[in-house]
Amino acid sequence: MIQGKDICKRFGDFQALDHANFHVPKGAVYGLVGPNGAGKSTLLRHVAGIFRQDRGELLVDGEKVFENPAAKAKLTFIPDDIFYFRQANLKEMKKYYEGIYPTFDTELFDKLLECFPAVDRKKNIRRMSKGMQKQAAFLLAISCKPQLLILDEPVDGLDPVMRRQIWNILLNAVSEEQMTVLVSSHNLRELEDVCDHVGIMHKGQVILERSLSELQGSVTKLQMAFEGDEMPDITGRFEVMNHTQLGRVHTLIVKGDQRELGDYLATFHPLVMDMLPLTLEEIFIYELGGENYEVKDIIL
Amino acid sequence: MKSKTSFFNKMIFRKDITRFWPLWTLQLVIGLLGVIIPALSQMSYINNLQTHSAKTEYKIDYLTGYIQNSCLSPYIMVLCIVVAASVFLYLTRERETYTIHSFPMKRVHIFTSHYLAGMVMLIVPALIIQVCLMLLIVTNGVGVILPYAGIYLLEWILQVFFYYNLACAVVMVTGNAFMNFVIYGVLNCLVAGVAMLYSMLAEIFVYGNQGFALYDIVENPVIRGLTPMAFFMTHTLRGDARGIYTMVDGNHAIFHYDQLLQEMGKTAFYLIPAVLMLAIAIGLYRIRQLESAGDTIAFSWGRPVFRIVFVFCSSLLFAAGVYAIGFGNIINDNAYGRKFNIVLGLVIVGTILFYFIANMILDKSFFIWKKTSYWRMGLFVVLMIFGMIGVRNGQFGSGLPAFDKVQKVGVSLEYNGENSYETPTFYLTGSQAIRQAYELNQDILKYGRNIKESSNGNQNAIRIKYTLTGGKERTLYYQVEASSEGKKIMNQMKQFIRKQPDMCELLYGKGYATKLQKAMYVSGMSVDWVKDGDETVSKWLSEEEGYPLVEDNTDDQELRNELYRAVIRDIQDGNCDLFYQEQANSFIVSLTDDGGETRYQEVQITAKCTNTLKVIEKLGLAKQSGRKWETPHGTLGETSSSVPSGN
Repeated sequence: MIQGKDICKRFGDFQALDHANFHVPKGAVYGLVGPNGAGKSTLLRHVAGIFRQDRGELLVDGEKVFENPAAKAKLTFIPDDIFYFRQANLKEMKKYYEGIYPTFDTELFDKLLECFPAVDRKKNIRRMSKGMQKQAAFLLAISCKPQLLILDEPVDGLDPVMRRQIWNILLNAVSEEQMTVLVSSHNLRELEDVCDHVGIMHKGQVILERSLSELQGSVTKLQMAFEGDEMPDITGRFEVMNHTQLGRVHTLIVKGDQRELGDYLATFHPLVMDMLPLTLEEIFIYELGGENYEVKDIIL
Repeated sequence: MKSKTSFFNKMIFRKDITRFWPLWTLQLVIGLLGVIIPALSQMSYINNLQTHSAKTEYKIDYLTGYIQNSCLSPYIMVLCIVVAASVFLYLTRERETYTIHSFPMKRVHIFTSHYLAGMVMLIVPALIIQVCLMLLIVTNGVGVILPYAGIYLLEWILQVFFYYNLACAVVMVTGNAFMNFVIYGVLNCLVAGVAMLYSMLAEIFVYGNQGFALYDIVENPVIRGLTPMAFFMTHTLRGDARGIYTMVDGNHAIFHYDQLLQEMGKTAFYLIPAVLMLAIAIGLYRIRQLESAGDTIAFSWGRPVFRIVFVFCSSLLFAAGVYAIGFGNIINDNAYGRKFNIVLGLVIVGTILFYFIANMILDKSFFIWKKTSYWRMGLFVVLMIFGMIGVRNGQFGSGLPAFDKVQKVGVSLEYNGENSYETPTFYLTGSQAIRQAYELNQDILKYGRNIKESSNGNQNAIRIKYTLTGGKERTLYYQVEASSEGKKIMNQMKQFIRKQPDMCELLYGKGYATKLQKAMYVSGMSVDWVKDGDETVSKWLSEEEGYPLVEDNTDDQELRNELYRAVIRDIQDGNCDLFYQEQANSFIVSLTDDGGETRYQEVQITAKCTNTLKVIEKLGLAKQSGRKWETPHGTLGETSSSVPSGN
């Protein structure tokens, strides 16, 4: 659905995107994660056709998106900081969206409105709470029946029930309408629940991009104990991202095929060996730790 | 997928109209309160007058005034930037601009939608007000001025088209709402402003530079043309409407629309830049980087332009201002070298200071010290220094014009003492005379460069007016010290003029003898002080004192001719004091022809001017008594108080 090649963007002296390459398959829920200033929002704004890249190529459904209404009509964008016209209520915003998006579905809007009972369609949206405004934004965006929904920090300010509600609606649209969702968030636990693809950004580049299962399968957390204090050296064969030792117990984060790793370590006859699945948050921390990202303080 | 969007989006258009309702509502209110209601009230008052022979004329007079008031250029100018800044306000706010540009529309369509909404907000209220005014005109039976109202409506639309397009172009250049107003304001008066600053500074330290007058600067057609605010505000459409209609009787008027339409033509000339501005605005919007929302300048290439204009104008203004406040009264002399050093120092300080300020504005930060390119700043300072030296040395139109362009030279001498006076202007047209005058001018400049400190005595002055090819004029005004060297310069110039073979030609131009004297008069006066009780006063002849020649009175033509011939004779005979050295109780005869060549020249009539005095005697303003001539203020040629030395 989205294909980005060598996208570069500079804001004055700051290189916001530095040859970013990424690919979002159709119907995927693609989570974009990365530290602050990594370039996530900038990348999303490029995908939404707001920014024009200095270099590189960005295609949405095979079409260039910048200054291309046909491509932009297939997507809706919910930014982290949502804009509504002053004095406008949901009814007026709906009219506005109807006039802008050729695919706006009024019936769907009315149906969805029932899922957001707290949203008062006659109340000035700017007077609503941040959470309510987010709900209104989802309501309008989904009613446009986009093929691609771009979400920048989408569920900030929503209560847990509403978060679940919104994700349910989105995932429903993904499964029924083959909608693609590109989402950036710092809430990795939440992304882990909903995303099937993940891209990790750092310093304007997408440093890692995999399906979540592939990603989780490629990095393993091991806890082992051997006869002596020393453990065999496996660095020649596998990439050890992190190694800590507490008494005889060694904890390792290792990149590589899980089965191959297990078979190889079994040859050293460890007293104990546990292979634990890695959370997205752990992968994020260890991946960026390797990129000289100062995560030590966060871990502590 | 087919997009609903065409060349413009109805929804955006409608949203702007409803969202910015205070703008057009305010216009309507201002129109109603400022034009319609007062006009209604005035018409009602006139209609209720019991006796008035010319009610129609009265109505026309008022209604044309109200029509003019409905089309005030400064009001249109302000209105246009307010509307443009409002409809494109989203470009200054990241959140808004990102949302709007994520919509499936081309930028040009977004622009068109907002642009048209703004245009409608500007035109429709004006139309409503004009329609109301026209109804008022028709119902009051003065339908003859309907075309007049129509012309002003068209003028409104034309001005709106220019000002609004300029405002839209400005809005596209900046990403900051406040800067919209600043840049727009500056652009509307930049050329005249720079010319004014230049003149102010040149006046301080360039020897010979005449004092600047804003009126003269704006009079220059090029400067005025490039200063839309000045052009529209000095538009003759703003003049008295009575000049363009004549009343046949109390109830019928004939309008001379040709003059109005001619003025409209001048406004229509602004259609070309207006269309250009619109094209620029669209072009800029298409290439605008949206991340510039909130930035002072939205384009990277615009930043150095802003910096240069800002630093250039601000540093000159700073130098002129600080000089006026801090040094203007201290260095009130001809020490041009010293003045120049001070101004140059102030310009350097101003350039550095405002270079930093420009960077602060551009970067929206106070801490720009590390980011500032010091070599660029240094280069700018060097360029400013060279520029100032260039101004001092007479480049950039502040010194002597090129000799080969000089067509005519006018010279007058000004003496300042207890009584100040100035000689008539002597116009030199012969090539040899021009060359000699030019060389004398160079000598004056050499003299000026050597003035270190001013003497405390009174300063005299030499005014030299060059007429150049193409009709351009440059006037240089040299203050000359009352020192021996200064007096020598004044005498040199006086002797040079005295040596000219035909003084009448110098004063009244070639063919002076055959020129018709239409508006010739004796402005009879006494430049000398006359005792009036305990006071000494300067007395002038007036009609009450028997002054018979009223300007433009054709009945006096024969008398005028006679007087003129007598004056010419006296000048040729050398009887007149053309350098105005004998003050007491003199007559001055002013001669003005209708050829446009000359002018208003004054010559002093001394007791030797018997030819002229005999004609003046016929006018009853002088009487011969033996060898003396008595005037209403005393005996001609005799001093009643002190007489200037004549320097």
